[in-house]
Amino acid sequence: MNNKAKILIIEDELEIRKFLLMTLRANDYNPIEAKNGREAISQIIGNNPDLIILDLGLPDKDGQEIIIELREWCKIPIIVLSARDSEQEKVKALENGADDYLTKPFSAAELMARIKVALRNSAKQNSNVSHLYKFNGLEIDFAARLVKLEGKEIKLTPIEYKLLTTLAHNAGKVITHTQLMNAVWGKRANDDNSYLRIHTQHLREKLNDDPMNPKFIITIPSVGYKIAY
Amino acid sequence: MQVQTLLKSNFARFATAFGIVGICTIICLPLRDKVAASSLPMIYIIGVVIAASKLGIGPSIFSSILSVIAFNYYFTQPYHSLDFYDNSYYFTFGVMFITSLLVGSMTAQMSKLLDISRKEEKETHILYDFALGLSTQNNPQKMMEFARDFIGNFFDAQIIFHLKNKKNTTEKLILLAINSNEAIGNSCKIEGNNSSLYVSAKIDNNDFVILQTIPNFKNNKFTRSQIILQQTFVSLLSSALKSAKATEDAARNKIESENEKLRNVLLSSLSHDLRTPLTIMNGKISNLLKYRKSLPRDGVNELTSLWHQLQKLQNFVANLLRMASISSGNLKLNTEYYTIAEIIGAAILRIEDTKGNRKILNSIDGQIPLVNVDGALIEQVVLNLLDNAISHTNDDGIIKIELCHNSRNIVICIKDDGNGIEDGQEKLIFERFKTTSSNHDSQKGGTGLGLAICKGIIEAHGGTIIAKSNSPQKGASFEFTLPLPKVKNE
Repeated sequence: MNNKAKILIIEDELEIRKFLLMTLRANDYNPIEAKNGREAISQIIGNNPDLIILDLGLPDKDGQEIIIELREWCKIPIIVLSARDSEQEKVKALENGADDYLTKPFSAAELMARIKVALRNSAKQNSNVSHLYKFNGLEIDFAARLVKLEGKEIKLTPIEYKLLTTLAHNAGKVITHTQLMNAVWGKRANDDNSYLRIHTQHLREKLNDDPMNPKFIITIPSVGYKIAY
Repeated sequence: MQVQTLLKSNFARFATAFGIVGICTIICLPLRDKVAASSLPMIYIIGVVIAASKLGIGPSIFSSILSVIAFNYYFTQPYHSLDFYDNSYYFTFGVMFITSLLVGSMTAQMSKLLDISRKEEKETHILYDFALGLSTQNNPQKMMEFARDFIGNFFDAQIIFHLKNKKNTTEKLILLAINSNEAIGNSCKIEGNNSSLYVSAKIDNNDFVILQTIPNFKNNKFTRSQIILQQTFVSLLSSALKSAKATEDAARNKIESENEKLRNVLLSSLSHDLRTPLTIMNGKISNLLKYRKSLPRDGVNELTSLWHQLQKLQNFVANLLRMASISSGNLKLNTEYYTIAEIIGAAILRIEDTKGNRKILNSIDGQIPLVNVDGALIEQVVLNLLDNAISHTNDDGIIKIELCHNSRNIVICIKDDGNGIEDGQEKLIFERFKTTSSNHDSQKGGTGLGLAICKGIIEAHGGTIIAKSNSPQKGASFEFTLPLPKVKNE
């Protein structure tokens, strides 16, 4: 492929930036860099990257604010890096519009996996051709509103269907509890997430998905759910 | 002292009164023919006042009567007889008697009051000295020493202090003194106790100080007022001890909390600063490993070993940070509803890479209700317990996770078939930086924080965590409980 995906690294630590540049180059991406919020904006406008890796702890600007500002005018996928192991911070970043997050220290392999998922999801959104989710024997036909497990159709309630498809549309991406509840129940969604748990439990039973050993729906405690991809 | 004791005996007092009247008579005799007889009773009244002020009410009445008789006998015509010619003497006798009686009784009363107030003043003075002395002692030990000398000197007695807890005192007399809240020993006939007096006062809930007084003087009984004074001494001492104890506690708490704060600030800033270089090292090693084909075999081995050590270091730093936030006391629980199975599932997923060939089995007893917990923290608990199980089992080991619940809790038990826990270590392993003594093998790499973190998190949720060895099978079990949410009343 001639067109390497262009990835913008927004990170103030020189050594981490160097490692990211090297890793991305080695994995056949085209990385560009910015060491603060101001540089980042001009890089995004000037170079139109395909993906952004954003460190939340920048010297000149709060990372969360950058996400909010970016989301006002662009859909470029954002992967957040954080030095703090704080679930609330992750949830905030995701709800502000980030696509994924990684807590320092992370491995190159983890980062590559996240980049792949984020790029695929954004490509799918742009092409609008994803009518099908297929994984591990589970098949969802969005157009026909049909869910099959090992070739056999499964009957889902509307809520279960909505839950499953919300996750499947963003396969591999973490959807926060609030995002999921808003998608299923709309703005009436209650703060109490016990309904979400119960419906997810039923959905898992129908998909024959053991919560202790999940094949499809993966719980990220204190953050949300994602569907395996 | 001798005069005082002499005056105490009744006979002596009346004899003295008699003597005073005698002296008045001797003074008056030379004046008998020079002064009008009706003036002489004044001198007797002076005598009565003196008798009243020194000897009390009884001798004063006695001396009044005696004065009238003496006056009649010596100073009314005919002399040396109780007869008299002038009938107006009836009046003189009457006035003399009533006056001396009134003046005498008033004087006696006043002098009694004076005595009492002098005594009170003295007691107040002593108590003041005692309290002042106590307040200059800066620790309980010195307070007791001071009190022992002071009270001992004051009562001319030998003093023993007992500091006792009500719950574990077996000595009969002391327990009696504590429970009855009265002085024990002096008036109570108690076998085996001949002369000691016991007085108790409360320091704290169940802690008491008991004063045992053994008099040095022969007639070894204390008067009522002496006993009351002893009780006052003891209660003064107990409140001094109480405030000393409170001051000591407060000082210790302050130092402890300052230390704790400092430690936590240090821990968290250390952990933060460690993360950046760890990320860089992590990235660089994983990049280097990409070139494994062009590296010599030894180089790849070294690099792989470096990678494993780095993973351990990362784990340790993560644990340090978690511990810092737990022990700083401001651990905020971000609770949501979960099925416990999904949290365990998330933890199992995260140790997929480190579990090797070990099997993780599970059994669920019945339908487990939802719990309201901080998901990420409980995931950390399960992760640490699984990690612990992995590091204490062989590569082909079996780890079992059992779930059940009762009306109040859900119970999660993680069992392994490793080398178990040494006897007596079951509680110690939950303390910070404690690893089991059998765990010398650095390959197992326990940081000594994992289980302490588990305990901190579980206790913050209102649950409990225990460890035990499996018997007769081998291996260890870790069991923790999480309280079920209270049923809503809506």
